[in-house]
Amino acid sequence: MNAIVVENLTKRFGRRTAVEALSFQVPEGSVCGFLGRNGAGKTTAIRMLMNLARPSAGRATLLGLDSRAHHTALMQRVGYVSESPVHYDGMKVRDLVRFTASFYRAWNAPRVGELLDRFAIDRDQKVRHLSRGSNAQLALALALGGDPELLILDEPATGLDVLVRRDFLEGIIQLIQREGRTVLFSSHLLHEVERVADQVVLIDHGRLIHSGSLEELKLSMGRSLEESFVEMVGERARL
Amino acid sequence: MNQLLWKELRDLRGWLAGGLGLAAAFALLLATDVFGGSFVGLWMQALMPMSAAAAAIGIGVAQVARERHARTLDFLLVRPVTPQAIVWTKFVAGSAVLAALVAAAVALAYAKPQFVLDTGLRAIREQVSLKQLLLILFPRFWCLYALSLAFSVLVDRSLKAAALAGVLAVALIALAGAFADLAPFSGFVFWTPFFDGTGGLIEAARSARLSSVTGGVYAALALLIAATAAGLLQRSPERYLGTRGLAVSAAAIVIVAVVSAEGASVRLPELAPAGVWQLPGALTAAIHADDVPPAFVDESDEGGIAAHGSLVAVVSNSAVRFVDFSDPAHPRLRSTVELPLWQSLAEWSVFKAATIDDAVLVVGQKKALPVDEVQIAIVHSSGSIDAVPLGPVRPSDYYSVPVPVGPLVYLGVTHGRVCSLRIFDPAAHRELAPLALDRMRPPAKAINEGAAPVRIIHRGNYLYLASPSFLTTVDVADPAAPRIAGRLPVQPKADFLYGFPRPLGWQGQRLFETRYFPQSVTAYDLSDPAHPHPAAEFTDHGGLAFDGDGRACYRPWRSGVLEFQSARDGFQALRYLHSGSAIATIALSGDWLYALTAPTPQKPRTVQAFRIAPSRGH
Repeated sequence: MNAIVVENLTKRFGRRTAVEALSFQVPEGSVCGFLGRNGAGKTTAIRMLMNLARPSAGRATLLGLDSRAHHTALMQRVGYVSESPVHYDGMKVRDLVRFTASFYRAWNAPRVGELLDRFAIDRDQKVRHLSRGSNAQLALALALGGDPELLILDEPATGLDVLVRRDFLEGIIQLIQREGRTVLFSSHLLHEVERVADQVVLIDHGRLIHSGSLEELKLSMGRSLEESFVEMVGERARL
Repeated sequence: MNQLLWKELRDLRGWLAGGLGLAAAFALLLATDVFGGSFVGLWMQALMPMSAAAAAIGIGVAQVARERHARTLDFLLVRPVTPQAIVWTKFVAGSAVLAALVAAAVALAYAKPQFVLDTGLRAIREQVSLKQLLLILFPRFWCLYALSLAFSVLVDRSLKAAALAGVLAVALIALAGAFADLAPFSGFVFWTPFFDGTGGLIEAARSARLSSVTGGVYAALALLIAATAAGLLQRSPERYLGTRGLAVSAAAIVIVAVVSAEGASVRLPELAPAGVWQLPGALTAAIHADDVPPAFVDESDEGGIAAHGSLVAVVSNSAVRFVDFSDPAHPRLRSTVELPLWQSLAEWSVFKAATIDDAVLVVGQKKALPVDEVQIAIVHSSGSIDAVPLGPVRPSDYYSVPVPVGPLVYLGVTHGRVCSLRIFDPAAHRELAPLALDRMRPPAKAINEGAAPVRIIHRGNYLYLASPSFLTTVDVADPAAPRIAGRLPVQPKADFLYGFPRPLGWQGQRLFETRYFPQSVTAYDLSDPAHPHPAAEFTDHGGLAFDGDGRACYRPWRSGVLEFQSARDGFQALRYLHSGSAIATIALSGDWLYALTAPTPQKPRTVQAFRIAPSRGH
């Protein structure tokens, strides 16, 4: 059973094609790295999965439901953290958590509290006074508050220092995966992906290069993920 | 409370606090008499609609576009809530804040009832309650707010949405003006969101039917637009219009407005003048600035015309010119009679002159010692002048248009709060016994009623006179022994309008009486000419005065004269007598209408002759 099924997903901005006929699947319970160079179309593709952008063509199915037709129902089951999360910065952390919780049928307040403590975020602080890293951590805590079956993270490690990034990727993602949940996270930092992912989707210039098991990729190429990626992207560039 | 709604209200707290604070500050200033009473009029007629429109646009445009630009919209869109619910919640919050602001803005005009100098506003307040005014105004601004919210969904910056809403608001205001001008007698004025001088908004507010129809349509439109906005965000969370799309949309709004105005304009058959006579005027060259065009200095800035047969008397303060239009294509000046030390009396568009054969009767005042004297000057084309003295000039007296019937001349007069009909026999230089028409009630406190006019019109064997309390019918079948045939009490629309002029006109079997604030016409049925009875009252938004010759009615309109006739529930425009200049006064004689153009610095004044028979409605 696949948690994510993407079929011919395409996005054009005027005459420019950002994502072209993208198709891949992500099995349930896996941690999938969504890889590509800067500007490869990762964020656009993820925004289409989250119904933040309207596909020019194609469709995406999340947890067996069409991402556009069942958007509201899906958002009860999908958590999302964007590349640079933006919150209502006039609110205090406590108010923002209460506000976010009001949208969900089931809200895991203990988990959110636990994460806020773990990230040392002061609940009485205004959101606008949080550092970039704390802001990303707060976004993650809020995304996990609804106990999502699928977590989609767009460059989640951006802006985090090395220690937090390691904690974030290895600690949080593995924790989530242990609960049998699926994680799709985009990154251009391949060595970090390699540590936690069991599936990879590689795209370049909006097109799919490869999707499948990370182990199989490494075995077939006989190299590390980074070397394999460089070879595949470089080959395309030469073509 | 729903957290999302609470958040939206929180986002708008600046508008609410600012608007209410501003209203409170104004209320305080009003209470302490810092402004003159005229401020309330200025507020109601200009600042209030502008403030309410600014609030409607300001609240609406920021709600989605600002969140999209700040990317907080993404935060909401990845929550289990439909985009439609997001827009509807914003709409509810925005509507509540707008309602509070509009209520505060309108309430200012009612804050201090005794402190209003402006008569128009006094009329509004006497006739329309705060609640009625709110009920009529809010849906209009609500609709504008909904449009702004919809624009906010289309773009990614508040400023872009504000620009689009601003273009739309200006286009709508221009459209309102164009509709009112191009479509005479249309009910468009009931739909305006501001006081445009026609009283359309007041009338709509007073009438439960008009209020519910216009308010209902505006409210339904607001909901429809909000639903469209919600649907648009549901369809795609992305912006719909970039900079180019915005420019195209703004251009489209302007084009649609122009095309709508063209489409709404009433296409009337036009009639050109058959003859034109130019008043003598001195063409003066600009002395100090080369770029200023030459200007005509006309000696007859005041005055008007009267006609009898093909002879037209053009009256100014200093002379009467008799122009012969027997060959309309080549009118010729027959004679000029000087009127030394003379000033003709005129009020609004009513010119106080009439003609008998080759003489013109003009009411005016002549310089005299110890005080100036009011006279009817009887000026013959041969050059001779007779005068009927009416008494010394008193500011509270009023004299109507003289009406010649047979050998006698009738004149409505108000003197010492008594209105009467005075009768003169000019040939015999004597005055007959007057008829008392109306004894006015004592003046109201703090209201300057001025000189209450007596309007008079002649039809068949009857004179009809509008005085402050009555519409009186006087039988003049025997001109020497006039008698009052009927008297209909008249209730002014507002207390302080007691004694306000009510111009009269007639066409066919109908007598028309123009009333004010809001402007309307009462039509009386004349099937029993001695006892007219009210047949209908309808809106009259074509102008203040009209002249009737029995076959059709006429009034100055745009660059000429509008010919119209009474229809079952109002008036119907027939022809446009196109002069090319604004018209000051008109005179009717047989099949001809003579129009005197209004004074302008650019053009010499002219008298234009239009052959009005037969017209479409005859």
